[in-house]
Amino acid sequence: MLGFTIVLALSAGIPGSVPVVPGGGGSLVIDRVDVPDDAKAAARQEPETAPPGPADIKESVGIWFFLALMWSAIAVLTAVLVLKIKEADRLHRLRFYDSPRGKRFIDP
Amino acid sequence: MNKLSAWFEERLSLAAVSGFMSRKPVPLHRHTIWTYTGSSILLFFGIQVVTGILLAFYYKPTLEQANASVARIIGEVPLGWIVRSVHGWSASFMIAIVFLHLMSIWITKSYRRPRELTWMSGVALMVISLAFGFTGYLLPWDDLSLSATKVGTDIPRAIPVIGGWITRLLRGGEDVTGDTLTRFFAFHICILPIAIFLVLALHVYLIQRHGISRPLAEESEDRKVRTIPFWPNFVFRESVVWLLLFGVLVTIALLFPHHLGSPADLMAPAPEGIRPEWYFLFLFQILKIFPAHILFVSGETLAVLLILLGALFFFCLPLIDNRPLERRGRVVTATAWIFLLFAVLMSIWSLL
Repeated sequence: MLGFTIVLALSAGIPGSVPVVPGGGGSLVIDRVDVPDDAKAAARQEPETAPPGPADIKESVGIWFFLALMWSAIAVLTAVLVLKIKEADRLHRLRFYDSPRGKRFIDP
Repeated sequence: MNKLSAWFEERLSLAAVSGFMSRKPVPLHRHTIWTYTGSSILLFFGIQVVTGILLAFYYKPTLEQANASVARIIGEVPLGWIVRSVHGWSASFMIAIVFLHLMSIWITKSYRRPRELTWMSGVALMVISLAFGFTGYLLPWDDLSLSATKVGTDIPRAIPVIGGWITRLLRGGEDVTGDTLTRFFAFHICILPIAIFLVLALHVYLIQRHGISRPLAEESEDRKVRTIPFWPNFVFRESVVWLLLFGVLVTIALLFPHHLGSPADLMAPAPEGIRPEWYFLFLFQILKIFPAHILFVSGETLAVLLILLGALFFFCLPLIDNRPLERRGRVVTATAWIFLLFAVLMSIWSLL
């Protein structure tokens, strides 16, 4: 019941708080928050930030270096994990995990 | 060290958890590869949570500051552009794997008795994931996201009786305004995370309750199938998959960062090429190809009702195809492939 009331309240919005822009067509509205015109204009300007990505050549090289390092680490870890998988499968085939020693390995 | 682990063990009983995990069998068969999709979703979900929290430190969900704060994240915050790019790309990866996971279950018919509720909770998780994508798309508050949200939130209006109410619920009023932005932000970081955690808990419980599914023939005949323990055998295998997926995600996020459009202007006309995220493209195209009127009914209303009917079919699939396990269900398999082909073709058409 409480959830239903909340949903109803949400769907209602805030009556009368969304003014229609005069001459702007019935469906055009502005935000209900009173914001100075210059602040709105500033918000609508093009962002003065650089596009996403490395800022300079140093950062660009850094990214390629990081990628090389990351993939090397992934390759090493994958190789180690493949060995661990083979070992774990071997122990499973030998029913090691059912033995008292194996149970200790799983439940230390 | 032993004393420390004994101290924790006495309080947390972690041995019981590892013992449970080691006894949990994971079947090995030709469809085992699809088992990895389920847990891979968790990887991307975790990345979403971490990067989302980092972004929330700097993001300001107001009409005046939303776009500027994202621009600040990209341009001024150290590694901010990487965090945002990883957040955006991991959302796409997560939804792609959710689709893959559901399609694999549909085709292998793993939703059949007793896993009907597992399927339904999975579909609910997919809907929540899509809602995350939809609400997150507006947050940068650029011209494209504003227009796409206007179109997206206007679609429910075509539903008879309750459509207008749903649109107002989504927008927080009659139109997309600053209220919509704060509302979408609240959905994105409060309501949807709570919803996903609750449904995820149910989904994981059901998987534990009924176990990981096996191929139909083997399950129906109760044939002895080769299994491996979840811990450590399956966890090691899963770790390899996670490592590779993480590597691919970071590489793509670094090489193809997410761009930010110019700040949204509520008075400006809709820009050219409004397009939703890739996972909504096929729905968008369905709406586009319907004529304005079919007989005396609005084409948009018919299209939306058709989509809702499709979604209902998808959700209730285990109740529709509730046959015994030994039935292969060729029609269901064919339907799944036709749907997949249709969705891909419609998405491509939308891009042309």
